[in-house]
Amino acid sequence: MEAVYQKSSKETVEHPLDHQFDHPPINNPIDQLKDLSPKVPGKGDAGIELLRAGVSGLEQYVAKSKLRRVDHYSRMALLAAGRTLEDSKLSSPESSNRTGVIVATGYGALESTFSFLDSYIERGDKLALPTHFSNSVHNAAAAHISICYGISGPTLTVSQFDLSFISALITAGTWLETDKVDAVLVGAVDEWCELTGYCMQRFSEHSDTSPRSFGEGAVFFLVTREKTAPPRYGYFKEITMGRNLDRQDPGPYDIIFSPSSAALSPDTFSPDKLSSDILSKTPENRIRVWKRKKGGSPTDMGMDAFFAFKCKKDNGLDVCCLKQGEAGMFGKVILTLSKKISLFNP
Amino acid sequence: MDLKYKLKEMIIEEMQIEDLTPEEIADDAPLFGDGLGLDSLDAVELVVQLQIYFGVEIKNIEQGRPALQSINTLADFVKAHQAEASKV
Repeated sequence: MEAVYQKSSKETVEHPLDHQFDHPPINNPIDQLKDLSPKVPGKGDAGIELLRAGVSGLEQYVAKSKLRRVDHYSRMALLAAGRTLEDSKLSSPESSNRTGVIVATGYGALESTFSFLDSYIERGDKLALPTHFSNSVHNAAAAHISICYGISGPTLTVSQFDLSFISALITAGTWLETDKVDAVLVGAVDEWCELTGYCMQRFSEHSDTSPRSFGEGAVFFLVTREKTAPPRYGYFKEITMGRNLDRQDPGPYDIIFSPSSAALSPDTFSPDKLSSDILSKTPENRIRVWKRKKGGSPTDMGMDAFFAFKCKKDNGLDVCCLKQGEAGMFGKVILTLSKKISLFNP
Repeated sequence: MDLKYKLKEMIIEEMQIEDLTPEEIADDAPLFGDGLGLDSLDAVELVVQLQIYFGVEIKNIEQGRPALQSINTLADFVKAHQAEASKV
C-alpha cells in the first residue's frame, strides 16, 4: 500500500494519526475527543491557501512522454498505484490479467472538469477543449493506471461520494471471493481546487474561518485473498455500509471517525452522540476515538486506513474507520494487524 | 511575431509538450508520428486551438490532412484562410 498526500509548509507529515497512535488510552474520551485536525485548505484567490499533493518521482514509474496530457488527479493516482505495486513487488506480467483495478473518487478530476466547463461556457460547444474533457471523466485515473502499468484485468471506477472508498472495497472483496481476480489494486483519489475551497467558504453552513479538512491525495492498497501469502500490513476484517450506525458492534476498537465531506449536508447523526453510544457499551479505558472537524474529503477513509496500517502499534485492538455519508448512511471498515481469519488482506 | 513561431508556441503550450522550445521544432518536421509525436487526440485539440488562436476552421478531413503535416503546411493553411476571411 502507498499514499500520496499533502505536505504542510513545514514539510512534515500532515495526518495526525502519525503522531497520535502512540498515545495511551484516554481516561475520559468523551471530553477529550481528539480532532483529526485537518490540513488547512488553501488560500488562492478565494483567500484559501492551496496545498497540493506533490507528484515528484512519478517519472520513476511512468515515462515522461506518457505523462504529457495526464492531469494532477490522475498523476496522484499513478504515483500512489506505482509505489503500491513496487511495495508489493507485483511485477510478474503473468499476473497482470488476474489483477483488477478499482479507483474510488468522490469528486473526480475537479480541475479538468472545471477547465472543460469553462471552455464550454466561454466559447460554446464547438470550441470546448477535447483534452480537458478526456481527462475530466472520473475513470481517467483507472484507465491511466491500467495502461501505464500493463494491468489487463477488470477495471472499475466507483463514485459514491463519501462512501466511494468503502464501496470500492466491497467490490474488491466480491471480485476476490468470486475468483474473478487474484489481486485488486484498490484505492481512492480526490483533488482539491480553488473553486471548491471558495464554495466551501462561501456557501457552507460553517461560515466561520475555522479550518476544515479537505485533503487531496491518493491512496492504494493491493488486496488479495487470505489464503495467499501472509499480509505485510494486516487485514480488512469487516466492511460494512448502511444505516443505523448505533446498532453496530461497539468494539473494543480504536475508532477513527470522519464526517461527511458535503459542506451543506446536515449532520444526521452527531459524532458526539456516536461516541457516547459506543462508549456506554465499552469499558472506558479500552477505546479511543478520533474525529475530524467539520468537512472532509471523500478519500478520508482510505487515508485513515493507510495510516492505521502504517502507524498503529499492535496493541491487540482493531481499528474501526467510520465515514459518515449523507442521509444517515455510513461506511465502516475494521482493520486488524493480527493474523486473525478475515475476508481478505491488503 | 512570425506566424510559424506563434504556431510552434501554441502547439507546445496547448499540447503540453515539455522540454521543447519553439526553436527546436523544425518547420518541415512531421507533426504526427515520428516527428513531434502528436496523436489523434492532439489532432482534435489542434483543430480547436487553430480556431481559438487564429480564427480559422478546418472543416473536414480533406482540408485537415494536408494542413496538419508540418508547421509549414499549417502556416500556409492559416495564411490562406485568414486571407479568405478578410476578403469576405
